[in-house]
Amino acid sequence: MYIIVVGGGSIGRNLTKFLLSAKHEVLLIEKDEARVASLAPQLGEAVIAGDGSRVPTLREGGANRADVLVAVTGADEENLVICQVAKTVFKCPRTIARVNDPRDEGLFSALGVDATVSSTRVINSLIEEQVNADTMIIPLLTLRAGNVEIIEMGLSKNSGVMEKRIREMRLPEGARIIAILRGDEVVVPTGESRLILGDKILALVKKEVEQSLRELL
Amino acid sequence: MRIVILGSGRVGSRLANALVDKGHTLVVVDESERKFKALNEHSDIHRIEGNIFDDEISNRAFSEVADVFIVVTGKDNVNVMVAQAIQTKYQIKKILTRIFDPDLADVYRMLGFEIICPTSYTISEIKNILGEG
Repeated sequence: MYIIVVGGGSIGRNLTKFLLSAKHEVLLIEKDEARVASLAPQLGEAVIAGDGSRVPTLREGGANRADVLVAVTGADEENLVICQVAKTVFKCPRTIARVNDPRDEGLFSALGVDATVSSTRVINSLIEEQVNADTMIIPLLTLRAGNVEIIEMGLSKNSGVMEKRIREMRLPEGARIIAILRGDEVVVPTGESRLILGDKILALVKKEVEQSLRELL
Repeated sequence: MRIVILGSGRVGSRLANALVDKGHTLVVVDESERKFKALNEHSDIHRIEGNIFDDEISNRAFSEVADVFIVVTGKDNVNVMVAQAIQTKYQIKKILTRIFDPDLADVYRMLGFEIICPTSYTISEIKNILGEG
């Protein structure tokens, strides 16, 4: 896919790197020349300087053949105009805008932006999850130490670990089941605990084995 | 007519002063109170200080049905967003939006907006003076 990202702040920068590593063709457009210069050593030709809310810049960036355009500048009015120009002039099939002020979210979708991402809303819901921890909705965390996280997983119907004792499961190295959520009940598991249909588990897991844990369950 | 103007800069404030003399009622909105200095003291020029994206401010500006909304802040992108936000919310019959960038002006004309593009006017005016119109 060809993806244009507008706005080279920390979101745009990291998104660009991620998309490049996922083997997409990506172009990052950033207004500030100094910032472009600091990004160029890492991103090379994948970054250009320009005002992404202007027609010539998007034309230069090849917006007419972009599959997706993502506008993540810090100014909502810019993100809106970028998406609208991409849609109207360049017929870009999919536009995604970052919404800085949650009040603008409804407006953006009413005005034809295909999807919005509001970091304020995401953060708010994370905080709410934390607040709800008392009432048994357990937050899913990436621990500050780095590559360890707590994840929640459902058991698939034909899971090979169904009815097995935890100590009989071949859990990947670096994964521990720390709780079994069974209806309203929370089971603190021991090696003798068994998983039954409908259970969810919370696991402490190193990121590199998360996938193999998912496959096991 | 009842006319709401966003942006009390050189254009906004002069326009308000001129239109009130023609017998219209004006509401002028600007984020910065200093900008109202150039406005005439007149009982039919109402000043609202604040951000038009705040419901409280926009509801005050459009508490009575406006015939025209004129959007003349200094930033194209802001003007474009405000025009669309206010149209969505209050269904104003006539909205005039200033956009300096001629390409962008074309885009929003294409989307059905009534756009004033000072850059294009200036260019065609100069061409006329030079007899190249």
